[in-house]
Amino acid sequence: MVDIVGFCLSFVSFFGIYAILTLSLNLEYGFGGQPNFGQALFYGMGAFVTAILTSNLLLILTHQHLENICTISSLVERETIATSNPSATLLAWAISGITSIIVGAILGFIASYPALRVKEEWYLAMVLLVAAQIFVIVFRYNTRLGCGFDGIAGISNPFSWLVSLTPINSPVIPNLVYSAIILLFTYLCFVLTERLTNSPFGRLLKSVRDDWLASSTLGKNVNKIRTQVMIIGSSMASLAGWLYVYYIGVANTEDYTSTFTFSIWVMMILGGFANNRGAVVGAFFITALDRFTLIGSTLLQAYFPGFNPNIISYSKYLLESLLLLLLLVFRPKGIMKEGVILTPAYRLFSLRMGEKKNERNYS
Amino acid sequence: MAFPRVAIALLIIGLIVGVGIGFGASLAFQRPSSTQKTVTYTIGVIMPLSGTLASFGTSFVNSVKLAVNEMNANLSAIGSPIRFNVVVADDGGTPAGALSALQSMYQSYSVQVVIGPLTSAEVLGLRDYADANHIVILPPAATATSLRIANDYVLRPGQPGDQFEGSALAQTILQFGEKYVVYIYRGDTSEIGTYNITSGILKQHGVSVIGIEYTPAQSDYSNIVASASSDVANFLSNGASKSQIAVVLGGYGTEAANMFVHASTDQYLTQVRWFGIEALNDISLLSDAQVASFMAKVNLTITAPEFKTSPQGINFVKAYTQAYGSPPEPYSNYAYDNAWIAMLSILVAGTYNGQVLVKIVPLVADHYFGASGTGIYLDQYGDQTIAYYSIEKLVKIGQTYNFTIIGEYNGGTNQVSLTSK
Amino acid sequence: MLNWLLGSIVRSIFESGIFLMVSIGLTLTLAVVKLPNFAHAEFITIGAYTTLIVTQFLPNNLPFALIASFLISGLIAIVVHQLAYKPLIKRRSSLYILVLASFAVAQFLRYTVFILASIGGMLSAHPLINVVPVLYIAGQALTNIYLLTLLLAILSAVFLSLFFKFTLTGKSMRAISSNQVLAQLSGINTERAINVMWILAGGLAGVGGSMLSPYVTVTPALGFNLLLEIFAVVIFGGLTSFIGTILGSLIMGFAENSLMDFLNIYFSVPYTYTPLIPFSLIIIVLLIKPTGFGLSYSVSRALKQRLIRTQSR
Repeated sequence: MVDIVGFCLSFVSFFGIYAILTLSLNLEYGFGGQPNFGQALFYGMGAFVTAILTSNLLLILTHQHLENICTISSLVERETIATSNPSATLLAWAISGITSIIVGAILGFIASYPALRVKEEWYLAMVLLVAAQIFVIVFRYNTRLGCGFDGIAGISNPFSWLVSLTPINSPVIPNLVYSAIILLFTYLCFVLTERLTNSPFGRLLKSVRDDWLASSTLGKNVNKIRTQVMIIGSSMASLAGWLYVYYIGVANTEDYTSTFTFSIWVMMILGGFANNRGAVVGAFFITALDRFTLIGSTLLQAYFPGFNPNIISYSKYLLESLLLLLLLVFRPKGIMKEGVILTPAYRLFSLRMGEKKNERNYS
Repeated sequence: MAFPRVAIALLIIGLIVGVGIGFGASLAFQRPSSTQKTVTYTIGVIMPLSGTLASFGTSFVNSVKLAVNEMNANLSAIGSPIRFNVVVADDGGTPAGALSALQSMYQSYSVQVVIGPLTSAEVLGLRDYADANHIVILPPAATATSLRIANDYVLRPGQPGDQFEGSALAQTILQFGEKYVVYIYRGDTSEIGTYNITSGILKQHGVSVIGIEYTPAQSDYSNIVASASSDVANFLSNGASKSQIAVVLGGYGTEAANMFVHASTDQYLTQVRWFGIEALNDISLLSDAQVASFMAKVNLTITAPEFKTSPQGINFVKAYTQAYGSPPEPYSNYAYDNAWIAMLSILVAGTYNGQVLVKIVPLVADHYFGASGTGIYLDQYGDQTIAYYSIEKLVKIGQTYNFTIIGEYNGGTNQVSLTSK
Repeated sequence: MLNWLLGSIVRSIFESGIFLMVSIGLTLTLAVVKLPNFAHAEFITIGAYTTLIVTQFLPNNLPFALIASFLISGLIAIVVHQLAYKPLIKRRSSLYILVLASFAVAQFLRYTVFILASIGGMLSAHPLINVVPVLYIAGQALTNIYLLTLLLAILSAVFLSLFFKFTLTGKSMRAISSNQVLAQLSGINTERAINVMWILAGGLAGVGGSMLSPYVTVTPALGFNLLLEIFAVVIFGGLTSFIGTILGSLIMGFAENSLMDFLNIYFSVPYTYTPLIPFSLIIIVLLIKPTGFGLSYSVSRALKQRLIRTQSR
């Protein structure tokens, strides 16, 4: 009776997006030492930029007049175009994706400025945390920027037009395609971060993270490195926002609060600092915790009437925080430990030397 | 690369446990029950049960459960094999949470009708999924105009849209001869919408309106109250008389209580008449002596749904209080009504198919009269077209405070008629 | 024209008093154990709920409610320290681990309160304390709660400064704050001093929550909503300075009230943008003068000594 396919699709979609976010945070903090407590800001900005741009682009590309994107008629119009006009939809999707990455990069550049300016690192954390809150308030109450409280809706799956083309007429097809695309982007981000960190640049990042003074004495441009890592991390987070908003269909500030940033931190800590595989594992674990408790709760209630679900919904939060505390006390490096930087040269070297291909673990 | 074994083990254990629960439960159901063949229909409820809206969410969930229990009792009394079951999921008040909750419900038992969510933001989060999978969504109290979309699966036979309350409020204020209005309203979609409509009508009739929007879920609103007070003082100093000045409160619950406490010690705000929205008829406000005495002092006049005159409405409040120990939160009667409409639609249709139900629900709703005290007639957007409000004033009777009816608003004719002042 | 100003000032002072009560504990925590405790706000919630429960049985009994809130919040603070923070500090965890741990503790406490409140039907309730106006200044009422808050804030400030100056535990705390290792080597019982610090930190926050509760209605998210503003107060004050916290509370109280009133009256900025003020101030302070506006005790003493030395020449 359980819809396995549907469950896997929805699980994979959320997991993919969260994995990208965790990878980006891991890059910024795990490798780069920059504590980004405002990751939701870049995520949300990518989402809102996507929503605003798509809403306008869809009208432009179908040669219609621009109108206020917050009205119902424009919402209905957007959805109709998505189901009938493949070229406009896909083009708008692609353009908004590229734009959100660029906007993320610019924001990352701006956000790295406090990092250079403040004396102690946790000030950066505070500044970003507060900036994320400002973002939420401004976009929630300002109807010109983000359509106010309800956000911008009507951002349909960019493959909705597939439904009418296939003989089955099932909504599963666009979901399947889009989930596959999310996974593809997750894989690309993983490959990118692995390449980035298993390289001289990765060594540079770690040296700046561990002892920026020493790095600086050795002639490395600490500021430039920090800026670069923030730019890459933020663009990745905005990419995740772009993917997410097309999945859920609405850009609403409630999804981008500091509570969500905290969840990403939990995923990263769980999986392991400075370990990209760990980041993915951490995201998987927390997504699994969320989805399995939810579906477990609904199943139990459906087949055992009288079962009280409140315990499960609250205890999920308790479990998450308890888990984090236990991890921090007993295993602060996470499930997967930080490994050696495996540049291509090092791999060759270890092959030649006949050493084991396993990672040496720092404890 | 060798993965640490602990990680693998942990993951596998987690997966096995999760999948085990799922499959075990579904297998348990598929085993036929040895006794009578009962047919169980499961209604989903998606509400915020954590976070700032938790008290409303919990009250709405309890109201749905009350309705389901009543229906089951009636069905078993007549010997019917049909029973209803409720599955509740917490969505945390976010669109992502609402979508996840709906996905889980659909994936675990193919839910076809859901009561909820609470706010229009959450509704927008799960709307696409509901439309694609043909799940009927009945949000009891999400009155935002952004949801007036035709031919989708979101139907709102619950609370009437803000345009009715706005009009009723505006006309009542005009009939009291007010010329200067200070309107304090909550910064959420419904109250902003109500404010826009009310102030629009008032301004058309030459009334000066000052609007003060406040952030929901804050601890203290002394600055809002002080701002209103100085606005009233300004009106007075510009020559207006007390009887021509009014304060309107588009807010409720703990925020209203906080503001009333502050206003009760203010020399200007206690001298003018106050108006308000239906949610101010709240037992938690009335049972607080300080708050209630202020409300009575300023002759607080609200537009209230007519559920106080409807037998189902009175019964609902009684039954809820008896079952859960405290009265329901405002607007809970709409959750109760939506649950009844959902169950009646399933019985009428004889099937649990969402594509059929989306056609049957308007039919049943149009012929339903329940705890909300007014009839229901849905338009092409699936929204209420009629609304009846009574205009009520708070008075002190003996030692208790109660709202008494002083007039009514007819949504059909869009007219307010006052019987007393 | 400026008739709003006086009432605005009165309200600002009240809010400064509340902020002082709830923030001083965080300053203490930062000074003595160098821990930015994001769970501090939950002590406020616990204090408010204690008052709620106590007044159900003893309505209007403020002294009892205050003492109970102080004790219970202080107790929870110590338990949290012993169970969660001490192990982490012992193994010299980095700052972010501590911050994350405090986030986790905050979430744990908050949802425990949620569960208990929803079982007890107290998800949003009002304590049975009467708010009675005592006198009026420029149309703004000064209520009994208002005056009590001011009194308590001033008393706490005086008590704490005497405590730090004259008692052994207080001086131990200052020693630990300036150099913990040295303090331990000098034979100071750091364990005891830190425990007392936690009781004070949690207890004062609980009393702050208690003073806030007659005005607002108590929900499990009560403290959490104030978290960033409390951090703003502490940041303005330079994180570890006691006097700085007083300054920071005043800045916060006035910024959120008088400044916002000013912006609203003359620039029509709606009140919904009020939180932007403390947030923007945090960013500005951190970027321009990260050490805040206060002086730490050791710095001010060093300055005073320098002054004495120059004068005695």
